[in-house]
Amino acid sequence: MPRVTYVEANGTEHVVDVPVGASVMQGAINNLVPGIEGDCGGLCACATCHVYVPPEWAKRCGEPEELEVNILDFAFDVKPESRLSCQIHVTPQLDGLVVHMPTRQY
Amino acid sequence: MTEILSGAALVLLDALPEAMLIIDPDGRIRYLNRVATELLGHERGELEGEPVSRVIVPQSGQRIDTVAWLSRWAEDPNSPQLRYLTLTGQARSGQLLRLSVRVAKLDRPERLYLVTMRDVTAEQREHQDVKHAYLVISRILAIADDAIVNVDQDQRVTFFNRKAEALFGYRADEILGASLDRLLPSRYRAAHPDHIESFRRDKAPSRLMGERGEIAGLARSGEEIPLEASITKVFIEGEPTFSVHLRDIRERKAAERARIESEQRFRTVFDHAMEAIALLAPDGRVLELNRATSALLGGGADAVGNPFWMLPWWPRLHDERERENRQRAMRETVERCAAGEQIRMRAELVDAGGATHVIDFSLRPVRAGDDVVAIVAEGRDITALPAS
Repeated sequence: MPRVTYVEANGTEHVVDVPVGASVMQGAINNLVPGIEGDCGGLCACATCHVYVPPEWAKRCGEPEELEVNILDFAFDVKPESRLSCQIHVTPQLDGLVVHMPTRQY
Repeated sequence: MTEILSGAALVLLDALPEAMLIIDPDGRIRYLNRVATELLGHERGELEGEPVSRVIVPQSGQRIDTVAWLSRWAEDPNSPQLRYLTLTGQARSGQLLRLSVRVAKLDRPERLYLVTMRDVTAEQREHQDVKHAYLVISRILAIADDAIVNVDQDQRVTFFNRKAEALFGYRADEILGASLDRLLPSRYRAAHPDHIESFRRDKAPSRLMGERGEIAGLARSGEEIPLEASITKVFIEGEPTFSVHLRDIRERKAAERARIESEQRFRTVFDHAMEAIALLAPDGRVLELNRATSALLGGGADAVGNPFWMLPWWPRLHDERERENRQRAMRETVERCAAGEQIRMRAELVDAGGATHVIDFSLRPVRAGDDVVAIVAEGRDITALPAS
């Protein structure tokens, strides 16, 4: 199972095995990782699963769709590496993925 | 605004219980109703003609273009995003407000957006507090030292913490929703629902399991694991959740077995030794006497617990002072041994029949680290040996 490391804004790391096909957001919620809220449950409608994906992983995570880019308008402290983690689906190629969480989701 | 709204319409908007803004496609506020002035703390005249960004303010690092979103939502008033996205308003006092908005557009006499705003600051705060409290508690339960398995009324697993994963060999996502039966040895499966049902009806909110015998779980490997378990129930809106806290007692059982075996081995050696052996506490109290002691000297059943120098086998001297002197001497000998010294001496003891035995007698300290924790007194009957 691909392993994903979630890094809280304070530096705390959570290493979690996420099944292929699940979203990075679900991996966090199912494993009670603090810092990702996922209010809308993965509809790409709430901007509370905002993460930063380091450039070396960006390509393997795929390009964000237009809706995701739009909803990111509502996220805080948006940077070029910002993504909504509910829109990143785990594949075997994402084994070892590291995502960083912002200081706030609301 | 009066150019597009008649007096009656203005009266109606002002009477609305919801805060309302009317803005134009350039994002200028054209009208705000009475509740909006109260919500934002502004006079109407201060805001009319001003950009909407005076009251709906992008926060740190937000790229949001409020007018673009309002027009987008106006085109799709049932957008799912309207349920989840809130805008951040700022009152005149500087206070930030979380605003749930609904938007409608008006095309005639000109394009305008009608925006209702509901202050959901407190609601959202409460929701977040509950969610965060849930997260804190859940994380604590997730890493608790006990395996915790929750099941619902139908005995479907609804929570399975890390220790449970390690104990049973399933990942939570493999077992959530499955029947509890998968974790029970087959011989328990038929009766288990009745046990749960009787606990559901029971007055006690929680209890130790296993009153009907030992508890065991079934790991994925097929291994049966002896467990200690307690169960607690929580009813939410009439629906029970049963939370079972399990502790793997394999190690404890193995340690218990090892202790019993070791005790048996010690007993065997102690009781089958040819020498008379007494085990003393460091203060000289007799803890145990072996069989050879009673075989040699007879009696002594009530010796345990008494000081070594008061045993019935020391010569019964009629001279009280002499007796006390000898007792004191023996007591000092024991104290020297308790301080770490090994002692060997000859002593005379009198058995229950009155016969005197010459004993080759030793006292040896038993150490644990630097401390003497016990004393072993050993005696061999050398009466029959020729004096050297």
